[in-house]
Amino acid sequence: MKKVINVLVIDDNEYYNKLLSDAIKKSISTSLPDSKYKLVLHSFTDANEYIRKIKSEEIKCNDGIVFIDYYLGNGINAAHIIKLLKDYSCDTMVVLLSQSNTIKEKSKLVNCDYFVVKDSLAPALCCLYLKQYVENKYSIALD
Amino acid sequence: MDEPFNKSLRKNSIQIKIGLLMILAVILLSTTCYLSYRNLSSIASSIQIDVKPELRLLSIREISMDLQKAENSVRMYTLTKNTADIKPYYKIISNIDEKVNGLRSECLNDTALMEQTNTISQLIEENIFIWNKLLLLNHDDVVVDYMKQLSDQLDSASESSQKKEKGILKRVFSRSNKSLLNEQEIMNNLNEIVEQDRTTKEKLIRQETQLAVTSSQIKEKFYDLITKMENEISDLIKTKAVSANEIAGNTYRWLIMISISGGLLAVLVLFILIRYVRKAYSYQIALENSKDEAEKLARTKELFMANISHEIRTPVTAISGFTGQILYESSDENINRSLKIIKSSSDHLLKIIDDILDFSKLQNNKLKLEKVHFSIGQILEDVYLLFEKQAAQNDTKLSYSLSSDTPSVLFGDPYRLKQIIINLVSNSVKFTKNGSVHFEVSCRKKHGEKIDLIMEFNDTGIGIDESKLNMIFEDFTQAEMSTTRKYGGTGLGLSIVKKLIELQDGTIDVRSRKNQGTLIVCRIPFMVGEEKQIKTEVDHPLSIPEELTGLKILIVDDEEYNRLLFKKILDRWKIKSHEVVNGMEALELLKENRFDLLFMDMRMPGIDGIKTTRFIRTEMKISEPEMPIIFISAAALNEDLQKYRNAGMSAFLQKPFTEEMLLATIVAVVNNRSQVIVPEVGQKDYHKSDSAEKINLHNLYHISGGDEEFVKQMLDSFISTTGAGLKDLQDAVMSKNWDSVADIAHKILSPCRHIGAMDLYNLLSKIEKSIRNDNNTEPVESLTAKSIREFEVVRELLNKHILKLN
Repeated sequence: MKKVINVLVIDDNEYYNKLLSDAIKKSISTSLPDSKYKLVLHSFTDANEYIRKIKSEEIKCNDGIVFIDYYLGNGINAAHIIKLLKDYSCDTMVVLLSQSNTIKEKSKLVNCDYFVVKDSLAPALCCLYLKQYVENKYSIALD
Repeated sequence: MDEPFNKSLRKNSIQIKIGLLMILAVILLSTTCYLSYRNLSSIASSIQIDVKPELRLLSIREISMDLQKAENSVRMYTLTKNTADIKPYYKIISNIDEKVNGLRSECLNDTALMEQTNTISQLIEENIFIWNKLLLLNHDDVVVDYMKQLSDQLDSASESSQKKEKGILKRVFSRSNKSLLNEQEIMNNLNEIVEQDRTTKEKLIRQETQLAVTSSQIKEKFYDLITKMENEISDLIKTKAVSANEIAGNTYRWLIMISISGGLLAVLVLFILIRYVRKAYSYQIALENSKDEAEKLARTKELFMANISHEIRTPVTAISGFTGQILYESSDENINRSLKIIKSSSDHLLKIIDDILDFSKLQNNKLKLEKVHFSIGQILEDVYLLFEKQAAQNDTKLSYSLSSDTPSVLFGDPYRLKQIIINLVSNSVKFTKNGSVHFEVSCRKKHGEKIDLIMEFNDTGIGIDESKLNMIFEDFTQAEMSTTRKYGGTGLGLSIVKKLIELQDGTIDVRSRKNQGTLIVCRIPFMVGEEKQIKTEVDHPLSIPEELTGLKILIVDDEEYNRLLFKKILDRWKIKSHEVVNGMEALELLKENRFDLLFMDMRMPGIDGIKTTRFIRTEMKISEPEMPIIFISAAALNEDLQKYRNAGMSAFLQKPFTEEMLLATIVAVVNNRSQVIVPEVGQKDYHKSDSAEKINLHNLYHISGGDEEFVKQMLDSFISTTGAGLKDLQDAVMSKNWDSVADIAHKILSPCRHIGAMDLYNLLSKIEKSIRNDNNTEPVESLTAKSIREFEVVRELLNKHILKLN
């Protein structure tokens, strides 16, 4: 039985959430079909729902990659979620998405693994990071 | 019992169990077949026995019928006196005789029946005797003679009367007158005849009576016999039926027992097989896990070797490189001496690392041999010069010779040949003090262009004990443990030499005596090469081509040393460079900047060089002619070349590299680039919207992969979410909840940018910036109004586009 990797997209903007989710879904089915892992995509436009599911352990936060927008509405931002993941000792890779060009500075503040500026290349970059994450799970490039 | 035997027994136990059960099954089947055959035979034989009495009964009935026929024949004859009527009689009695004999032979085993048969036989004989008598009586000539005599007498009397009276009436009357004399005599005769006839008739009656009695007796006997036989047959049938029932019952019981046993056996076999399959499956899983573990271990080993390459070689390269750079610049003799020691030490360390890496590659069959033309004389000279000083330090005379018949140019792998010679000469020089080391190269010609290169390495060093000669080619081995302490080394040199020689289909032979010296003879096949094909190296001093000075180069490498080394060399060459530490930063930088050339380290944390390059080529559409990418790696370029090429690599530079190598690579790439037409810049810069356009759906179509339904869905989603967002924005502005305004503006920014609605994007951006950065809410209201108007325009355009899609 394949081990599950949760791929999470947390963005309060329905359009961008769908855009990213769809790109990831396509990437899973085309670039990673023979992966040793089963990739399960979860999309959240409401950060509170994600928090609730993490707290209730409905979604296991280990072995996952989180694509998260910085501003999540309702006064919640990525820093809150990342802190929560840390509090729950979650072994997840966090890719911070933001509209702002000051994302590099933000990324240092919130302690994420990668950051992606939400431009036209963002979905492709997210897919690239996902692919690299899955590969690194069981293999490290020898070059 | 010893452990291997137990293991073997355990391994074979399933075969033994199955084998025994199969034997048991065969025995059961054989038993079933035998019992079935035996019992069926018994039943069949009992049926056969039952048929015999029936046959006897038939015989008796036939005899009875024949007797009746015979009697009829006799009676018919007595009536007709026709001989044709008596003929069947004789035939029948002949058959009866045969049948009686047959019946007798059938009753041989049955005494009672035999007696009956004999009685019937006697009665039949008696009957036949009577019939014969009857026939005789019917043929009695006495009566006939009398009748004839009487007739003659009557004839003579009538003749005498005829002479006088010629009519029947006259004769009748005359018989009373003239024949009166003879009448008494005739009457007497007639009386006698009558008497005789009466006697005969009485006899006949007696015979008939006797015949009737005999026939009746015979019939009775027959009926008795038939009844007896029928009873007997009935009894026999009953007995046989009982017996057959018993046999059948036994057969059924046996069959049921055997069937049950067979069923149990099948269940047992099935159970054993299922258990075996389950065990086999668990073993298979365990094996697969072990295989995975082994593969993981192998990968870890490879990874470890790669780490050695990367983690040790990179800093060592940097040390060596920087030392070389400082040596160029420094003029202080003392410092230079120290620097030279550092350089030689780091070079030595690199040599050890190379040995370990080579060994790993050889073990994994990953080492590839080059095929180039090279000068054998040059290699020998290089090696000689390399060890000349070291030999002199040991007071050892180093010399070499090359036979005149050896072709001056060979075709093969000069690097590996040099490695072999260096290793062997190095050993000889290392272990020889106050002696001599001589290496000699000759050739043995084979057919065509093929030759065998024979190399002999002769020294007068410490030698090797003959008993340890066979272990000197083993991995990590030196003849004596003390050797390592005294002379150093990894113990891999000869092992690598042997593997390299064998890789080239050659042989190596060692002869040595302790404290007397060593002779090593190697044979390696080569092809004869061509002198004009030998590649020449770049000569010093380096002259930097002018066209390189204006280049703008990006260096992507996580190792600070490498970046600094690059920067130092490139600065000296007056080439502008920019450095980033990983692929992610490189991609971000390339979004806004362009470079003429990029050096990409292949192994970096996060996304590696290949993926970053692929992204640059496929997603950012920066073509190879526009920005060549040179891969840099400590690992050798082996079978992965095509993979790198496919990713978008333009050239490869192996670490550690020299200035010459770096320059040669850049020159090669730049010259190559100049031959390719650079495409228009606008083609790839798709992420910036044309300001003249209100929307740009290029990105959306690019992502959709031509799926118009997806585009439609996305546009619908944009219209509804952005529309709702703007309404929320307006409400928030009305209620002067500025934080919320900034949040909402930020939330709907990305989609606007994605569909190229840059005017709307800029308006929303200004709203967010005014609140968050400038803390100025004054223009927000008007900006919001403008945004809503702009959205209306965008929406109209999008709706038109959706209509087209429909």
